[in-house]
Amino acid sequence: MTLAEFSRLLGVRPKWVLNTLRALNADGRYTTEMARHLTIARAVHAATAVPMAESLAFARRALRAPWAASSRVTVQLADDDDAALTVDVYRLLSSFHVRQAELRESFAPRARGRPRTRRIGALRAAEDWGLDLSLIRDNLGKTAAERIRQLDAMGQFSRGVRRADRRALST
Amino acid sequence: MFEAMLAALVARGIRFVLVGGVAATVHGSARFTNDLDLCYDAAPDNVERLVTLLSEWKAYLRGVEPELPFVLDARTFRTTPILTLTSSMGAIDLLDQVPGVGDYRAAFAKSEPVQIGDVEFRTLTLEALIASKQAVRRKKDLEHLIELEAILALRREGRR
Repeated sequence: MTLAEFSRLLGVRPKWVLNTLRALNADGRYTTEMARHLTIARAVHAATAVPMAESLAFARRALRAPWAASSRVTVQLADDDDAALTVDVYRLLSSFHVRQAELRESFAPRARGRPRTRRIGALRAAEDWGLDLSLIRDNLGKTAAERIRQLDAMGQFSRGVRRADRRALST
Repeated sequence: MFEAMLAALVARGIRFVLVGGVAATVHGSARFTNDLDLCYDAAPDNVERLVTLLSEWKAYLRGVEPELPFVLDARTFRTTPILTLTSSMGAIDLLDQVPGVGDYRAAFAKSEPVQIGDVEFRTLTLEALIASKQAVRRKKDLEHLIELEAILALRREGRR
C-alpha cells in the first residue's frame, strides 16, 4: 500500500501519517492491519488526548476484545489502570471498511504534472487515442432512454457471461 | 438494471443528480459501466429515504470481504463523502460532492432533465461532467475525458 492509499484509508492527510508513524517508530508500515489499529487509536486520541502510543496499545486491546458480539466494548486504558474507556469498535470499523471499499473500487492515483494543453482538436485527439468515433456518432443518433437500455442490455450480457464462466469453472 | 434503479429512486422521491459513467452514456458515451453514480442531496429527509431504499436493496460495501462490520444509516452518510456499494439491484456509488462541480445544489445547477418512459430525473451536463473528470485527473479517466470531449465536439459540429 502506498502512503497516499494508506492516508485515504485512515481519512487523514499524508503528513499526519508520516508524523504519527515516525513517533510510533513504525515508519513505512502501510498495512491494512496498521490502518485498522490506527483508526481506533486516532479516535481514542482525539476524544481523550491520551498520547498516540498509548492509544495504539489501547486499540490493540480493543480489537482483541469480543467486539463482534456487542458493538461497544469497554477496555482498560492500560493493563494496570483503574480507568476504562468504552469504544464503539463496530462503528469505527464500519467507517474503516467504507473507506476501504472506496479505496479498492474508485481510488486511483492522480496524473502527475500539469494538464497537457492540446494543440489538436478533440475529434483528432480521440482518433489518435484509438476511439471509434462511429460508435459515438451512432449513439448520438439515439435517445437517452435508448442509450440507457442499451447499457442495461450490455450489463445483462456481461453478467450472463460471468455466470457461465463461474459455472464452467465449478464443473 | 439502471433503468429500474433510477425509477425506484425517483418513485421514492429521492433527490439526486446522475453523474459518472451512466451520465456519460446519457450524453452519448459508448463506454460500458457497471455502476450507477449519484450525487445526492445530503438533507436529513433525503438521506433517510436513501437509507430505507438501500436497506431494502440489501446494500453492502463493494470490494470488501462479506460480513465485515458495516452500518448503513444516516450517520454513515454524514461522515462519508463517497459510498461504494453493491446491492440486489446492482452497484451504486453515492457522492455528497462532485469533484470540480460541488455539492448537490451546485450539481443540480449544472444538470439537465432526462426522461426515460415515465421517469424524469436530472443528469449532470456534458460540460460539467468534463469539468469533474478534469478535476479528478485520475490516469484511468484520461480515455473517458477524451471521449467526452469528442462527444462535445460532435454535438457542436451537429449544431452548425
